[in-house]
Order: sequence, then structure tokens, then C-alpha cells
Amino acid sequence: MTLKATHALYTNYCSYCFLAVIMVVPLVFTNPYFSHILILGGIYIILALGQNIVTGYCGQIHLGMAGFYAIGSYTSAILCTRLGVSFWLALPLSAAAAAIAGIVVGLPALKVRGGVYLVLVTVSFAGIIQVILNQWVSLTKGPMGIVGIPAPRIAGFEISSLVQWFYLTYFFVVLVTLFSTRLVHSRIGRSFVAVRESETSAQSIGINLAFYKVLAFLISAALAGLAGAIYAHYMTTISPDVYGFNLSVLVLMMIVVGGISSIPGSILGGVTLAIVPELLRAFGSFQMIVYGLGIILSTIFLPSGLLALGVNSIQFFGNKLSQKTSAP
Amino acid sequence: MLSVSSVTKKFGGLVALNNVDLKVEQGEIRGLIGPNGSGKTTLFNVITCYEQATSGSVSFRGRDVTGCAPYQISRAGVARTFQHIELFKGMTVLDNVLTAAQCHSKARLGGVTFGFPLVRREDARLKDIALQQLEFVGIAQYKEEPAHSLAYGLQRRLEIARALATQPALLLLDEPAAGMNPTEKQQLIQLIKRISESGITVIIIEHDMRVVSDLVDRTTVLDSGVKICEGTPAEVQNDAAVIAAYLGKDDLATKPTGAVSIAGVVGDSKGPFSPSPQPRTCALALKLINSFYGNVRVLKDISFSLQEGEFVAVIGANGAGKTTLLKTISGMLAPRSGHVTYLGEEITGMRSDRIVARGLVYVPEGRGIFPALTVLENLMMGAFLRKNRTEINHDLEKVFTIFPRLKERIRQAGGSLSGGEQQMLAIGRAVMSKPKVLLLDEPSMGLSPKLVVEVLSTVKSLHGAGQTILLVEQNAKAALSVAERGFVLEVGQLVLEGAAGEVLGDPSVKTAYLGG
Repeated sequence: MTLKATHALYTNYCSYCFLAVIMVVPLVFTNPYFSHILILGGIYIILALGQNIVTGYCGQIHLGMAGFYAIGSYTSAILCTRLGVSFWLALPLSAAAAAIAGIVVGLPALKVRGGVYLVLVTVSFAGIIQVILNQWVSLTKGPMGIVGIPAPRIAGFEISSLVQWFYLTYFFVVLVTLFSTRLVHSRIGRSFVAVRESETSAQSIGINLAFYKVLAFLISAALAGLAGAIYAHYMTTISPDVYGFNLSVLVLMMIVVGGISSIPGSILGGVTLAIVPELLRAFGSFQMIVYGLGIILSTIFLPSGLLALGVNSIQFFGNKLSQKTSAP
Repeated sequence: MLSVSSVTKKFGGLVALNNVDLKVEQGEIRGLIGPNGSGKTTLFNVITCYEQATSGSVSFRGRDVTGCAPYQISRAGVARTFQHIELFKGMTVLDNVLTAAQCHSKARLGGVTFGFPLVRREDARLKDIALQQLEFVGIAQYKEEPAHSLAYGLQRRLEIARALATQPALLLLDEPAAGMNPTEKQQLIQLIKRISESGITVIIIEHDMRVVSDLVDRTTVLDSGVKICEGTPAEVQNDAAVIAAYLGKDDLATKPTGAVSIAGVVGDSKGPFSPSPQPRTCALALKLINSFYGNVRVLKDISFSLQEGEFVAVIGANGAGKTTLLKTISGMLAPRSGHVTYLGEEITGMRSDRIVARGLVYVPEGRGIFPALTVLENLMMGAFLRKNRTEINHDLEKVFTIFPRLKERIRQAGGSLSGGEQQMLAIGRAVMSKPKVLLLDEPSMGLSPKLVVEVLSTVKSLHGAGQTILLVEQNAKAALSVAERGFVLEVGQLVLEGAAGEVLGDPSVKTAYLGG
């Protein structure tokens, strides 16, 4: 097999390879803590894939994913605890609610000139959502949060164990990965990249900038809403402090650390940023310092993300191999 | 097919297009020419709705398209390329064209992501269109390469392929031959002829008159936003107004008294900038300079020298390499080969800030003043590297003597000045850094004829005060009427050298601008 083909195979199928590897873990290690971290990692992957569409592909720097994530969590929690709606109906409704919020944010965001202005608009949006969660007590129960969010049922069978939750989460992760992969290779995905690469040319070939930017916002918001709903049902208790600015930054970091504008990169970044803080607990009170340093070093030495490490090593070993075979 | 009626476009106080009419018939290849800053690209931008006309209207195939969005005009059948190549750099060559081919297809989220059979068939059709266009322009073999890895000439072709993939009825090409070598230009001419034969109407902005003459049926000439002529290439080349637009008007030559009198005033306070050395020594010498942008050779074996206290003008048409010449001297562009010597010291490849510190100061084209700072602050920025306060204040007074207009506007923001005043400010700022040699890049650009006279007269008075000046100008008449010596630069080569008056009278100057 040629090097180029290996490379193409790696980038096309490594999403699924990563997911397959992760999904074997609970079968091998029965440690419940492991499963818990990986479930959070799965939810992060969905968030990262959403961020990747709007930032990685469409080129819009957006720092408000926590806001859409919160809308998803609270929509599902309120529907299920107050109105007794089932998880399976609440899930698409949460994504839809977040998508509508995505349009509401996306439209004014287009008026601003992108870049730092867009960052401010999205940060403010997420800030407003967090204030609403704290202050609108009659709806959200304020800082106390919502408790007793019911577990989903499949054919009368309740999802309760960690392993069951693990596979339910990764079922959605696989769906979202499939969707994202198809999307970015479609006409719509190409149009997103065109908007990112040159707005001037994109318009000259008939691309409606406003439409595609709002569409990117909408899709990423819907994915964040979906992730939020899964999180709410998994935790059974939610409160506003989870949905802060830190989370938005974390999601942006996932796609940068993993490899921007790449689906396997988002998967790698999501899981990595879920696991690494846990691994760093050994450093005790220095945990966050080491974590921060790690992020800084990875952006300096791996500007194309962790994924590039894999690509480069394939090239490296590929070259070695071809040298060996060509040598007498 | 296309009808532009009395379009005016103003940017603040600047009138970029003044009551321009343009009618282009189906199947025509139309040239659009004019000196730098005459409003050609602005006209393209108005037609393709990138800019809204201040007044007037544009109609395409009988439909009024004034006020549309750029993507709508593109879907209506007008495609364009850009003066500075605007590709989707990170995409493959094929994807660049494919993205354009899908312009008439609907983007339905569900159908597109889940690949319904209808969508799949449509995608295959789009890919066929894209591949056909790549074949047509002759770059199909690069289809899987990333667009940014293509050579410059091929990138231009890719941009044309991308425009064609939207299946336009009208194609606007903005300087497609810029930076191409003669062979590439010939191939481009053949390509545009084939595009025209396929039934697409073409409007082309081009500076190389040989390309224009080979291609177009009729040419429209713009000057300072006004349409001054329309006709066949041969008619246009011999039109007095066109020649005046390119080479400059006779204003300065006919009233030299104005220039001299200003010089006389400054002459009273002679020698503030540098003592006039006797005898003259060599200030600047270039030896066999070759400069490249990527693979394009812009300067070819340029050699000349400039004596201390001398005022030399290098004239030439757009794209002749004038700015490149100054950038090479001032260290912003390293030459591939050759030597630049300044006051006996070799400065080839030296960092540009070190060159400035040695007193070789470049005033860039387009002025580059700081619009938010006041006139005084702008001038003081010029003295950034200097420490001696009394000397600085002394020079400030000198600048105000030469440019009294700046003194009147000392507290005004640089951005609020008129074009001519901004140009004076840019020159004044350069003088504040106490240059030994001043490099001026097209100070007349975008100025009305009256202001050109005024600005160049002040340049002349600077020279009268002992300043060594290398001026690069498109406006040949204006430049040569103030300079002592002149060079003509034609497509990267010095073709003529002599005393300013002789050069001005030489017929090869007209050829350099308007072709044979």
C-alpha cells in the first residue's frame, strides 16, 4: 500500500478506530470510575464535533457552547420532571430548542465583523443563559438545580448501570460522528470551508454567507443541545455552575488540542481533555498548573493537534519501511 | 447584455466612479483599461454588487440588479476573478471548482447528509462539470493537489475554472495576466478566446496592452473615475485623452514658473536637510539586480546609480516593476541576485529597519499614514529613531515651511485630510526621519491633476533644498518635468535613460505604456 493511501485510510477511518478502541474499554476494565470518565468523554466528543463544524470548518470563532449545552440540559430536565415527557421525545426537543437559540445568536452575530466581535457576542450569550438559570427560579429552580431527572427506558428496560450508560452515550457519539463526517464531505461542508477560506470568493461563486453561517451555528447548537440532554439524564441532577465560561473554553480547547478542522481530531481532543485532568490528579495541588502547561506546550509543539502526531508517525515509519524495502 | 447607466461611486470625499456608462453586447470581449486608481476594479465591484453604487443603476440581461447581494448576482450568471488571487487555499483544486459548480444546487441538510439517491446523482453531475472546467483550462492533472501548492500562473487558471463552473453568461476578469511570463500570457490569451467562443461574454481589466490588443473587440478607458474613451484598441492607443491619462498632462511643463517659485521660497533657507556636497558622490548604486515574486521574475538585471543631491525619476506603466524596485532597495524584498550599494556600503539583504536607520527612507505607495493620529503626531512618528529634541523641532519647522497646509491642520486627524494633503503628510513624515536618500513611490496616485502639480512641486522644492530623491511614477510627464534625470522601466527592464527632457520627448515612452 502506498504511503498516500495509508495516510488517507488513517484520516478517513481513524474516527471509527478511536471509537472502537474506547468502546472496548469497559469490557476490559471494570472500574466504574473509568466508565464514568469515558461517558463524560463521550459527551465532550459530541460538544467538540459541534464546535468543530462552526469553528473548524466554517471558521467562526465561537466561545458560547456552554450556553447551548445548558439549553439542552434544562429543556430535557424540565420536560421530563415537570411534564413527564419521555427521554426519547425530550432529546430531539432539546436539540431543537438549542438550534433555535443557535439561529437567534447566529443572526446578530452575522452583523458583527467576525473575529473578536463574534467571540464577545457568543461569550455574552452564554453568560446571559447562565444568569437566567440562576435567576428564573420558578422555571429552573435557580442555584439549587433540578434533581431527580429520570433515566431513559428502552422497551420498558431502564438504563441504570454505568456500562449501559456508556454504550447509550457512545451510540449517540457514533451517530453524531457519522452525521458530521457525511456533512463535511457534502456540498454544505464544502460551502462551510469556502466561507472560512475566503468570504470574498465564496460570494463570487454564489454562496450566501448569511445562510451558511447561520446553518453552521444551528447545527453546532443542536449538537450541544443533544449533548446537554444526555448529560442531564446521566447525572440525574443539574445546576447552573456546570455551564460556565470555563466549559466553553474547554470545548474550544478540545478541537485545538485534538486537531482543528478534523473529525478524528475532535474525537481525540474530547476524550483526551476528559481523561487528562484525572491522570494529573497525581500532581495534587499542582494539577491545574501541569494541565495548563500541557495545553500551552501542545499548542506550541503540535499546532495541528494530537492527530498530526499520528499522521506524522505514519509518514515517519512509512518512510523507514520504504527505505528498508528499497535497500538490497 | 450588461448595461451600466450613470453609475457614481463615492468613498467619503473621493469620487471613485463619476457618472460611468457601459454597455456590453452578448458575445463581446471588452477591455477595461486606465491608469492606477482610475476606478476599474471599483466598477467590477459595483457590477458584481460587492459595492453599492452611490447613484446610477446596473442591469444584466434586462433585469435591474442594483442592490442585489454578491451571491445573487453570481447565481444570475455573472462570474468574476480577483486582482489578488482569492482561492480557497486549503481545499484541493477539484474542491475549489466543485464548490462553485454547486452554486445552482439546493443545500438541504437531511438530503445532503444522508445521501439520498437524487442527491448522489446530482453530486456526480457536479463533479463532472468541475472536471470539465479543469480540463478546459488545462489543470486537470493537479485536481487532488491543495490549491495553494499550485504555481502562480496555474492559480490564475484555477480561479478562472472556478468562475466558469458557476456556468456564467458574463465573465469579469480582473488583471488575469498580472505576474505571468510572456509564454503564460500567450496561453492565457488562447484560453480567453476559447471562453469567448463557448458563448460567454467577457470583460477584462488588463494593463498589458499587448494582451488587450490581441483579445478585445472594443476597449473602454477610465481615468479618475470618468470614462474618457471607448473604441477599438488601435483607436484608443492614439486617442489624445488616453495618452494624456497614461503619461500625464502638460500642466507642469507649461507652467514651470509655479514650481520654480515655490522652490525659490525654500531656497532662501537652503540646506536644512543635508549640506549640498561638492563634488557629488555616489549615493545609491544598483548592480544587476534580479528580483522575484515566487517564480515570477519582476526585475531583470537592473543597474543604475544615483548621485548625492540628485533627483531621478523612474517611470513606467502599471506592473512594470516600479514598486518592486523600491522594495528591493529598501530591504523589504531580497533580490535573487545583484548588489545594492548605499553610500559606499553594501546593503543587499540587510533588514529594512537597519536601512532606514542609515538614512535611506521609503515613502510607500498609498501613503500609509496613521489615520487616527493627528498631523503633528504623524510627523513625530517619522522622528521615532531620533533623540535630539532641538534638531527635531528645527526640522519640524522646515517641514511646515515646505508644506504650509500641514501647519494649518496640525491638530487634525491624518485620516480626515484630503488625498493630496495625506501625500504631503507622508512625505513630511519621511523628511522628519532626516533621510539622506528619499524613495518616493507614486505620490501622484489617486490625485487630481491640480494636486499632482502641487505635490510634485513640493517634491521639487525638497530637492532644491539639497535632498537626494529617487521618484517612481506612472505619471511620466509630471515626474519628468520636475526630475533631473529619468529612466523608463518596461516589464522589469530599464529601456531608456537620459536627462528628463530627452526622455520625455522619446517616442519609446508611449510604447512602454500603450504598446506599439
